[in-house]
Amino acid sequence: MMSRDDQELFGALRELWQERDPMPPGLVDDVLVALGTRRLAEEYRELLLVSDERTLAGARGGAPRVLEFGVDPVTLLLRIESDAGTHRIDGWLAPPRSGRASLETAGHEVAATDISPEGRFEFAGLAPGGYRLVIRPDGSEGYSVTGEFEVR
Amino acid sequence: MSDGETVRDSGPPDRGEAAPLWARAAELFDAWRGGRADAMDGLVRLVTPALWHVVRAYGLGRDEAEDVIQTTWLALVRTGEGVHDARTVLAWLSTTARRESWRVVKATGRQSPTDDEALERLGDSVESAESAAERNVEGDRLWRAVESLSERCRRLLRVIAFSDRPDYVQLSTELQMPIGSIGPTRGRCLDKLRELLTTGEAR
Repeated sequence: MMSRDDQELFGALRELWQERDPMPPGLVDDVLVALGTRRLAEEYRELLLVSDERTLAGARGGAPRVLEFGVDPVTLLLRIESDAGTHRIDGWLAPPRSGRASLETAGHEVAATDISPEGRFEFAGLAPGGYRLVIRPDGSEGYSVTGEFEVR
Repeated sequence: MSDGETVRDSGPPDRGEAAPLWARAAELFDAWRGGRADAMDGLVRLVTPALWHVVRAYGLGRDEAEDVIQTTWLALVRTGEGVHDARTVLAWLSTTARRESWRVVKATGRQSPTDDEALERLGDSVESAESAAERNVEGDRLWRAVESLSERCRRLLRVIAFSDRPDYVQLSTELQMPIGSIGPTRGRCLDKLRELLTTGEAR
């Protein structure tokens, strides 16, 4: 334990440092901004792959593939059809909610489209590759992103 | 925004009156983990002033010190659940800030920050004639004595002054002294400071 004299000296030292080397006035606000920015960036959730199946229905140039992603209560179905090297994705979002859907490859947006109030959207003429789909519902700052999936 | 509360809270860990800093920090941290997002703002306002002095004790420039403090807060938010006992959140912040400061000091290859510091102090000491006149003589005397201390003593005293219960294991690494000698070293540094104060008086 510190003696009373020591405590008093430390008290004087604290006052001295506070006076001679004060914290910059904007520091607290800068920290709050940094934390706020991070909070926004984290308001997303990853939609996990639930199933990946080929269906037999509507086969023309190969059976369409259906991917299901979800994290309760959101489900996202993607139907991928391939024809002569190009690919088409039809998406359904449940529960339905309008917004914006965008496709990313390696962190870059390569296509974007509106999601209808019924939760439907589509992308056509896609090149093969690995994609992630980002869903931004209207009226929300958060977003959802799928794990990467291959289109080929 | 800034209010009277901020000003009152910007003090060092006060011993005695009201709840100690660590207890107020624990309360806010618990509230934040319980879902009150604004409690984190309160925690930042409460603890950042003390962190500033702890980090500056390592001789970091003002910009570097600001970066270290931001990194420290981001680390807390990231590992929020990693601090098991809310009562240790102040110690966690202080230790993390010191580790990060130490890392920066080592990464920039500074053996002794005294040269940079001396220059910077000159830059920092620009103040209005009015406030200079108001500064009390006692303060000047103490400041001169502190300036005459060794870098190691100055760092140790400043870290202790602004930490509730500094972690001696980490301190011993940073100051390159055995844990057991930190207490006695603190005593010697205080003695040296008192001696400098007395001789300064005699001059």
